[in-house]
Formats: sequence, C-alpha cells, structure tokens
Amino acid sequence: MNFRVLFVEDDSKIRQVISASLSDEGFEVVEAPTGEFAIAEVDLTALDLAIIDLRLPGINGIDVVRNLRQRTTMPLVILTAHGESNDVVTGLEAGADDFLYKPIAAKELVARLRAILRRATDSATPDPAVAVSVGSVSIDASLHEASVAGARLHLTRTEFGVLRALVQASPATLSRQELLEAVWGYDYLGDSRLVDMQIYRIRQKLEAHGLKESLLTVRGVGFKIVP
Amino acid sequence: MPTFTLRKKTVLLGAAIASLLSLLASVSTFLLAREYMLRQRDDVAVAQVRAAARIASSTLLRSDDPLTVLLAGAQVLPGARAALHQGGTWLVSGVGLAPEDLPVDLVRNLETGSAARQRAKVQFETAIIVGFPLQTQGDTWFVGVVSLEELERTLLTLRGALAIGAILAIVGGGAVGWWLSRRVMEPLHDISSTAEQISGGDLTKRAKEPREPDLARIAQTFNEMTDSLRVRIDREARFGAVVSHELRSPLTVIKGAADLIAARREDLPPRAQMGSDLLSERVIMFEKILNDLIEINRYQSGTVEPLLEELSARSLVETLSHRSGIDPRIIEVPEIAVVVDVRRFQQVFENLNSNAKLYAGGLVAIRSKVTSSHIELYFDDAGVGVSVADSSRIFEPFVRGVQHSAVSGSGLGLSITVEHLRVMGGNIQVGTSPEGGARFVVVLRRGEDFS
Repeated sequence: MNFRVLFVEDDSKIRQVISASLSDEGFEVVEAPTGEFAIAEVDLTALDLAIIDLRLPGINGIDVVRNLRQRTTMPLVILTAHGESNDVVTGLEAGADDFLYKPIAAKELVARLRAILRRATDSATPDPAVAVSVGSVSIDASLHEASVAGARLHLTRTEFGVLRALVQASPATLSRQELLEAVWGYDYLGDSRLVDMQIYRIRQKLEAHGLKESLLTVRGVGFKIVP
Repeated sequence: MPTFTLRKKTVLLGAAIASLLSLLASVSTFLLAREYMLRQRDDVAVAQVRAAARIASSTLLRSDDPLTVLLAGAQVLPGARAALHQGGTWLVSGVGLAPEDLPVDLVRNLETGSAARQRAKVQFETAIIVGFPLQTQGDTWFVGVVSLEELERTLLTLRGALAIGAILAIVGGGAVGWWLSRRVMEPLHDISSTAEQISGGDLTKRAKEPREPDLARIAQTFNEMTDSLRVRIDREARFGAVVSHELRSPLTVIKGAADLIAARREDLPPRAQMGSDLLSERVIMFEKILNDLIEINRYQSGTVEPLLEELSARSLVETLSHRSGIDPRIIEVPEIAVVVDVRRFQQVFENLNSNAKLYAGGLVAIRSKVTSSHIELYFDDAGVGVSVADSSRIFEPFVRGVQHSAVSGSGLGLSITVEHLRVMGGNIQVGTSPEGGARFVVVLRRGEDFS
C-alpha cells in the first residue's frame, strides 16, 4: 500500500528534492506551494498524512494546521526551524501531532513518516485485543473507533492511538516515553510536549461525555486510565 | 569589621557634623553668655558694695562703734552680708559668714590700701566679695559679699537649654543626612535593581528618572545604554534568525540532493561515488556546525527557555547509550529522578560521547555519585586525559585541546554543553578518570524520587 502525503512548502527546490526522496521510498507526494492550495487539496484527495512548513506566504502554517485539523483526522506534521520552540508549542496547540526540524534529511523524514503511519494504520490488521474497554470507555481497534457508553468519541488518529495504548495498558500507568514509543514510534527520547498536548485533547473530549476523573496524571510517572 | 552602607555612612556623617557644629555653638554661646553676665553682675556688685562702703564710711565719721558702722553699710546690701575690719579684728554681719571665708588674696590687697574684688565660694555658694578701705590710711576695711547663686541658676538653665538644642541639632543632622541620602540613594538603588532585572534578561525594564537634574542624568544615561543594548541584542538575534533561516533552506536542498545521489551510489562510477561520500559526510558536519552556531547565538541573545522534566537517570542514560551504540555494561547509574531538558541532555550526552570517541577511543565507563540534592555522572575514558592548561579553556567557545587541532568540529560543543547544563540547573567539570584518561563530571539536579 502506497501512502499519500501532502507536502506544504513554499520553496520549490525543497519541494522538488523532498518529493523525489519520498517517491524513492514509495510515497506518493501531493505538493502544495501555499496554505490555500493545501486546504483545497484536502477536499479533493484522499490523504494519509500532511507535512506543513510553518513559514508560508499567505495563510500562515499555524492557520493551515488549524484548518486541516478541523476537517481531517490524519496525522499533521509541522516543519520548523531548529530551536524555535514557540513554533512547536503553537503548532501543537493548533492541532499538529508531531514536528520535525529543518533542514530535514530525507532518511530521517522517511523513517519518521513510516513510524507515524504504521502506528496510525496498524489497526488494519486485527489482533486478539480488538475490542477492549475500561469502565465506559471502549476501543474497537478494527473499526478504529472509540466510544463512551456506546456514544462515539470523535478522535484524531493520534488521539485514538494514545487512548488505545492507555486502555490496553490499564490498570498500569504509561510513561510519556512509553507513549511516544507506542503511538509516535519514537525509539529514542521524544518530546514530552507531544504527549501532554494529546492527553489534554483526549481529556476535553472525555469530559464532554461526562468523564471528568477518568484519564489521570500520575506525578513523575505518566498517565493511566481508570473506570 | 562591619561594612557600612553608603546610606548609613551619610546618616552618621550628617549626625557627626551636626553634633560637632552644635557643640561648638553651644559651648561658645555658653561661655560668652557666662562671661558677659558675670561681668555685668560683678559691676553691679561692685556698685552695690561701693554704695554700702560709702554709707559705712560716712557713719565712721560720726560713730566709733564698729558695729554701727558695719550695720549701716550692711543694711543697704542685698543679703546683708558684710564684714568690717578695724583695729586688727573682724566684725561680721549676715547669716553664717565667718572671717575665714574671706579670701586671703583679697585681704592682702586691702592691706596695701587698695580696693579689691574676688569671686569665691562662701558657704558652698559662689559669691563675689568686694572690699574697700574706709580710710586712706589704716586698717579699716569694709567687705561686702554678694551672692551669685541666682546667676548660677540662670547659667544652669541656659546650659540645659543649650544641651537640649545640641541634642536636637544632632538628631536633626541625622535626619537631614537620612533624608539627603534617601534622595540621592533611592534613584541609585532604583538603577541598580533595574540593572539586576536587566542582567536577569528583562530588557524592557527602565530606571525611574528622579527630579534632581544631576541624578536624572545618571538615570537617563543608564536608560539610553539599556536602549542601545536592547537594539544591539535584537539586531544580533534577528541576524542569527535570518542567517539560520537563509542558510537552512539551501542546506535542506543540498542535503536532499546529496541523499538522492547517495541513494543511487551503486550506479555511479568510482570517482563520483567518492564525491558523493565526501558530500554526504561534509553536509552532515556543516549542518551540525550551523546548529551549534544557532544554539550559541540563542544563548548569547538570552532567548533560551528550557523544557524541564523529571526522568530516571538510569533509563535516560541507558536509552541514550543504546542509541549511541554504547555497551550497556559500562553504565553504573542508579534509578534516581533527575531534572533534565531531554533534547538538550541528549546533545550533552552525544557531545561527550563523540568527544571521547574522537580524542580517547571512546568511553570506558559512565559512573555516578549521588548527593542529597544532585547526581554526578562521570563520563570516563582511558585516553591521554585533559591537561591542566586545557581544562580551564575547553569550555570556552571556539577552543579545542591544543594537541587535537587537526580534529574537525565547530569548537562549540563543550561551551553549548555548559549552557545546556546551566539552564537545567546543573554544571560540568573535567578531571581525571580512574583509568588515567579524562573524566567529565556532569552534575544534574535531583527530582522528587518517584520510586
């Protein structure tokens, strides 16, 4: 199965070289030179993932992320200059699932995308623990759905991944690094802000279904889900 | 020795000067007033006694009885204390007055036939004693004693008033000193506390401008300096940002192109393969140096905000070691919570590991020592070690060990390491490992243990 990736980047030379590298690795790349272009593309094409450069002419990268997040559950990866941590925070708040620093190496990019996509789509192969639940929270891995007391919970791919990992691990606690490994596919130390942002979102969605004290923070350790 | 603040010194100096001045003023006022009043009193006393003596003298013409003569004189004197000497004997009038009370010098003067006056103690009180010979020849003298007690009391009151004045002046001087120092010191304090805040990174702070023109100039100059400093820092940060962005875009393309070529390495003739290998290797180094420069620029412009979290020291070191291909058996680190910025600590770790590889054939042990508040991680190698001369310099930017100048690198690795550890609340030192090589001691803050 070939993954289709949306690549939003204003520098045509960077688009060209990254697209070539991704094509080499079997990805199908949809190039978008502007945010406007990217937003139009989402409605036209079935996509598995989007990479968004935060520095764009016209609509800025953060607004593109916000817009795409409202209309799609696919993983959104932002590209930012090394060390500009404000970009990372605002990008994650806008709804990004992961970030990469520029300049990106094709190899790193491919490895990262594969890890994210594997985690986001491995529900295609059902395993024994297809449907598990903790209290009123149920996970159906084959349908890629989560529900609270039968009512469907609308989650992004990454949120679903985090919730599923926590439900499957329950009653054990998962550390941030364990979640990064299970959901983002980081085999080394990842950025814990990624986890915190997803936990925050999942909590809000659970609270909307009346579950206020379900997803708990264990200080100094990580997170766990309780009935 | 206790050190006095400028403020305290000003107050003390003000009080000291005020006390000296008021002491001088009081003492001289007192002495002058006393002298003047005594002289006035003397003159009055002499006049009174002279009048009495004159009455006594005219009585002497009419009467031979010395007592009559004495009493005639004495009755016009206030206090009526007088003495008459006639025919070698003293006749005394007035309560408690005895001939022995009369001063010897006075009597000697009278014996020579001249009038005399003298201040002396008579029955424990100061008095002025005035004597007049009643005849041009002979030993008949009239002596009057006029009490100065009232004057003494007046002088005592004056002394008290002056002393109170002096005390008030001292207190007032201190108060003036305090007030003056406040006026002078407050703007200076304000400037120094502003300077502290600015050096702490808040460049928006400005010193208040006091009303005094002299002090206002200091504050103005200080604020102007801060403004220009801020402009410079902004410019540098902007320069860093522009350079990093402008270099990154082409570098992304170069890196991507190098990867595309490297992916087709097998299709290339040998010379082109060599070119591709060199290109790939140098591009990686170029990126590393660029990132180092950007990182140090960010530290120098003070725009670094660490992302601190608590992690187990053991799993942190194990994970990073695994990633860097370090044998897990050389790790001797306990399960203790430490405060780190993961991305920055990873750079610290990788920098120390790559230094050990470059200069000393790799790490031989990662040991540790736990104290009550910190953990010390020892990155030990078995190389030639770091010389004493180098050990003080290697943490500075752009400095490398002298014997290793052939090894390539930005020379920024260890100075970035220093900054990284500083923002985590830790530090780094260098020493000698048990194996005789270098030992880099990384000190990290302990978190609250969650075992």
